[in-house]
Amino acid sequence: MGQRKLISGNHAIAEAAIRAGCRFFAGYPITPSSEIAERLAELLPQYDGIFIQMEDEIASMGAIIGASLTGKKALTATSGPGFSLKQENLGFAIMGEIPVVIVNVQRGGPSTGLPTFPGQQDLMQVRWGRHGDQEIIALVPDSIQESYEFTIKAFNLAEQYRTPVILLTDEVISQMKEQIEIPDDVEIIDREFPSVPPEEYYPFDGSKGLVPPLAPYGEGYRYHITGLAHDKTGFPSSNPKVVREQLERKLNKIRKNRDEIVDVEEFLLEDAEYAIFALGSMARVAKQVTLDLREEGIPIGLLRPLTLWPFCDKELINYAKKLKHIFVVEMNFGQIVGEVERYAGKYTKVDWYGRADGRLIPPREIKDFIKERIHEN
Amino acid sequence: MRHEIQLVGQGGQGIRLAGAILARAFGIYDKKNIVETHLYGAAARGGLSESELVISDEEIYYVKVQNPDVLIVLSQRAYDDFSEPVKNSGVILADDFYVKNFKGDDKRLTLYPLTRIALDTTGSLIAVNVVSLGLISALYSVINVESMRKAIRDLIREKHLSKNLEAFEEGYKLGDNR
Amino acid sequence: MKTELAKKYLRLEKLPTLWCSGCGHGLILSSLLRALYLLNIEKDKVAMVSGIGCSGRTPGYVDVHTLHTTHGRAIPFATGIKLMKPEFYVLAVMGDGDCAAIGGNHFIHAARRNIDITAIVYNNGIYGMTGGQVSPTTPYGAYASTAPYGQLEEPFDIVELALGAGATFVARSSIDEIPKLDRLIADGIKHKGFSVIDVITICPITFGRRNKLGEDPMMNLRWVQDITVPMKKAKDMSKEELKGKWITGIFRDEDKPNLIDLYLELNKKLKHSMVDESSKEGVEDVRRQDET
Ligand code: SF4
Repeated sequence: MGQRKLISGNHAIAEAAIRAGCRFFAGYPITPSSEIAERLAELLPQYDGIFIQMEDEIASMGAIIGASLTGKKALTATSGPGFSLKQENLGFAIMGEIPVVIVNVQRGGPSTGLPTFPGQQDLMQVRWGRHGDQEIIALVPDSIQESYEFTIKAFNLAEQYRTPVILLTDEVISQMKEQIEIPDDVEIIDREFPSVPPEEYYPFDGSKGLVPPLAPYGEGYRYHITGLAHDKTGFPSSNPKVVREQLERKLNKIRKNRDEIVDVEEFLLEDAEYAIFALGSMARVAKQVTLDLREEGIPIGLLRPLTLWPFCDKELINYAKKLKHIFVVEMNFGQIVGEVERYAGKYTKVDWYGRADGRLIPPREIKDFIKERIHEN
Repeated sequence: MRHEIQLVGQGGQGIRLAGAILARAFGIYDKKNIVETHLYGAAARGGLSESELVISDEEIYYVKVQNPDVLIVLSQRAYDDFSEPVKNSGVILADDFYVKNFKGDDKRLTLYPLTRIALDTTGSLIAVNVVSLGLISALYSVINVESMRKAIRDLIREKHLSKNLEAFEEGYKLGDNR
Repeated sequence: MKTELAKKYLRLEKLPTLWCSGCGHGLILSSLLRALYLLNIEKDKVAMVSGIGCSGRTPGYVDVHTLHTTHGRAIPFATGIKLMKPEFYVLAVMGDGDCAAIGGNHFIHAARRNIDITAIVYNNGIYGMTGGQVSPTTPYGAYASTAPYGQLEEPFDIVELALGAGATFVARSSIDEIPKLDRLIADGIKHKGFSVIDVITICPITFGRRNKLGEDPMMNLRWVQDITVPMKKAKDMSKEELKGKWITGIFRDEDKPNLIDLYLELNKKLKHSMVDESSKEGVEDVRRQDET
């Protein structure tokens, strides 16, 4: 068994990043994520790494992309308003296929909103906040243990699929403290090094697989990366066939591997006739609700996406076919419910309960809502 | 069993540290599941400082305190704003120096000279947090007093340790005598 | 030397450049290549980062590690590279819009933190690629597609900006003094710390045409000669006479601790002294009693 520790979610993320091999952090202070930066400012220099507080969120996003190109793992952390600013260069990282990890500790929005209170209002900003078509990977922990483990997983996925990965937490998970077991062994994935000599290397060559290796700077591989549409060499191209093929490959490297990437937790679903669909800190509340309702004899379970994006459409449909009713619970005014309806709506009834006022929705409220709906039907 | 403990006071009373000591005693030494949350950015909120713990042998799903079993209030505002949700069977332990006005006859409420003891034993107001911890260690059987002592040793700086331990024991006696 | 140099540093297959004939950018590119050649810098140790606009296309032609980033953001990307590859020569190639408008914040902060990056500004006072809109260095009164009645704002002086923000090597030159520009760029690259070389150049197509210079590069070059004054000569000129002129020369060249060296020193020190204390068995982070 690993070492038992009592830490906050933000500190767990910082320590897990070091464990994952992260050696560069660039960030800009923002509540409630700043403790990640503060901890890494302490830790990174001790591990031969670099911490830098940049002049703004845009710059920190740019800096981690530059750092990643040197072959090192790089991280930034922010909250909703900062994430909005990072979108531009995040799009660049997607286009350039540069592995980086971005933590978004959600707070209440829009705008400055509720800096010291939680929200789940960035679910769609994370998915669609940038211009252009793209796939994105986003992981959503509901505990400190998962904050630790998902940070490592985020780096692994970023390296494996050569893509930015988002760790989406919220104020509750980031600030609270609970005990975790630091695992003795963790799997660490590093990006693939090109198998061909520099003369034959193309950074966007999809002929040998959907994820071409990314050569680190300084190893004899001199190539070009641009945010412009480009061909396999990385140089600009507006040839429609080339543009389409490149973009399709970038989408497909996530889409075709969705079974490897997507993960859900199935909580008491085996014999369930009803299910709650919730994620992050609200999923944790929903577990309590599930247990309470079970005690009252209602056969209910919880489906919790661990990866918010790509969306767990298959898993959801699977259950939707068997369930009488799905209740989506989220700390916003209706975001993920749209996706749930899109996939499950054909097969079962979908109902929604949520709000965004900076507070976790207490179990009692959700219980009452679900009972009422079950009763009505 | 789920237990909920909440500590509320103002900045400078070591509330957050007291929460951390409790969390460590339960979470590390007693190997219980605990979740500690607190009002974030207290400085900006008129000095209100708060820490809350949920302790359980089972998984903790709802991480916030709903109806505390124990509430420690070290300021009038803390009492005014936080006492209502405390369980009927629960206890409110209030500092008799700072908390003067009460609602009717609240059966849950007991006053203790926490600040006074802190001053008498350490000469400093801030030790009111460990005095309070001593008190609830004596009153509340869920708390393992040995684990509390260990947690205090871990989290309080060497040069303040002996005074703080003394204050803790004084708080403990206060509860033990009743 | 010419072909040898071209072969060594250029991606010949990417030529000709996309720049209009008569554009000043090609001259700056060749100066840059000669500077690298003069210093005999290994290609594997160079990263060239650019933003958006005509100048942004520069890295594509150079056989080093090249990165064509988003508008105004060359410096942040370059900062990430430099911090993780201290042995690299990192060049940020920017237009005046990149440097002084959308990327102005990055520019002054890079100067403040004195990070060892060489910033080369292709300063033609116009947004060329997007069709001739005003830039933060468009001269007062000049015409642009978004200043059809003449620019009403005063331009930024990139040199003053860099000096004020703390850059440790600051120079201005123009495409009219090419051999000198080679040396200035080489000096900037050699300099340990943030170096800025503001290069006054021309965009005959979108600036010249609108400002009575036409598309003729010679007319445009003459305009550059008109508006630039060597530092020595400027000393004897009055404020009135210097109005609307860009002074050329080296404005600052000083040794000061740069961020990379300071960081490496810190890392070395920490490595010898400790393993993080608070990551020891289960001691969580809380403020200690005497700090609460
Ligand atoms: S538009 Fe102007 S700056 Fe751009 S390539 Fe043409 S002449 Fe050069």
